[in-house]
Order: sequence, then structure tokens, then C-alpha cells
Amino acid sequence: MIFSFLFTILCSKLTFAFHKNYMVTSVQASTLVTLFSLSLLKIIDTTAVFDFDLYSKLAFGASFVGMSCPKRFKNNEVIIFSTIFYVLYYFLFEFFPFSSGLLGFLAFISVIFGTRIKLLSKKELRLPLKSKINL
Amino acid sequence: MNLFRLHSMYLLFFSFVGFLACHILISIGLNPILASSLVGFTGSLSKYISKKASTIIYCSSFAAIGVLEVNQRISLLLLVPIFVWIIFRFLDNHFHGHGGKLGTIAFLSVSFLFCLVSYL
Repeated sequence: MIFSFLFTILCSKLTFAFHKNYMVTSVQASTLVTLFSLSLLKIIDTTAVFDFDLYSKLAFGASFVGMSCPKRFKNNEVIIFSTIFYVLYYFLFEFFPFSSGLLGFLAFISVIFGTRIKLLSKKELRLPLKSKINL
Repeated sequence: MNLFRLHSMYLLFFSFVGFLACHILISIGLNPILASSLVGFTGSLSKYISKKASTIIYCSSFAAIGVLEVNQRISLLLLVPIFVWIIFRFLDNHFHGHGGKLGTIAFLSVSFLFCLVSYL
């Protein structure tokens, strides 16, 4: 489980880094990371026994999280988004009647949740002046 | 937002292209994720199509991934790229830079088909 979690983080970070640093579009970054991950997983699948289906879905979904705009989001935020995505995947993936766009939908929800958590935490840290005096 | 402008029709055409290309690759036995990535990558490389067109190609390829689980009639399946195009155009100026937006558009499109099939 830890390995699959780290794999998710890695794929999202790679996509984000490609998009930020190498002048590629978000679509190109996502497809490149997915194709590279699938090739690597296929090679590992020939030598070791592991759940290829799970890892390929995690790679694909994590690449969508990494498609977030580098001008709007930071590196550490992408880690938070992919953590939320991983949790959502484990709890929600099996409950839907079809899988079309489901990974992207879960990625989108994780980005929205992550953004809201970030905004709420900023509001909590900013105490009003009166309460500071009372303390 | 005018859905019937030339640029909009151009995007509708590429929505069909992405959906059908991915559907054909899956039906010949390719892994759905590999098929979608190949279609998206090929679309993004072409110098002759705009960035928006390559985005909608990738988006409609997601919709093709599990759509056969919903229904197998081709006449109903061809509604999916139309739904993708409509929702894509509506959300064009919203949620900029949010990862997973394209997948959500595909998910909503197939959800509409699912509701339509359930109703019928």
C-alpha cells in the first residue's frame, strides 16, 4: 500500500515537473508520464507478480493531478492533492457503475478539496486583532 | 458562447475523432489506458491542430474508456462526444488550471448517457 501511494505521488510530481520545466503542454506531460509508467510496469510485470491494473490506474489518475497549472499551484500542493486522490481512489472507485472519466473526476475532486483545505487553513491562522489582545 | 461557430464545429469534429480513435484501439484489444494515452499524445503532437483541439481529443478519449459498460449500441455511444463537446464549451472559461477537469467532463458526459439509457 505504501509503495502504491509513493508511486502515485511520483507520477503526479513527474507530470507537474514536466509541465512546469520543459515547455510541454499539460496533455503532453500527462500522456508522456502515463506511457512511460505503463512501459515500466509492463517490464516489471514480466519479472514480478503485482497488480498491473491497479498501478496503471494510479499512474493515469495521478498524471491528471499533475496536470494542474504550475502558475496556480505549488509543488507541495500537488503532493497533498495526490494524497487525497489516493484516498478517494481506494474508497470510491468501486462504487461507480462505469469507469469513463472516473479517475479524472476523482483527481478533480482532490484538487478542489486540497484548494479548500489550503484556504481554510489560511483563514484559521489569521486571528483577528481583538482575540490576539485577549490572549 | 456560441456553440454553432466554425471554431466550435471544429472542436466537435475532434471530439468525435478522439472518441472513435480510442474506441477502435480498445476494440482491437489494446489496454484502455494505453489507448487513451496514445490518442492524446498523437493529438498533442500534431502541428496542424490547435491546443484546444488536442485537449478535446484527450478528453473524449477518456469517455471512450469504459463507455461499453454503459451501453453497446453505437447510435447511443455517438451521443457521448456531443455531450463532451457541449460540456467542454460550457466549462471553457471555468476551473482553469485545475487537474482532472477533462476527466470530469468525460465523466459527466457518460453520466448523461447512463441516465438516458436508464430512462429509456
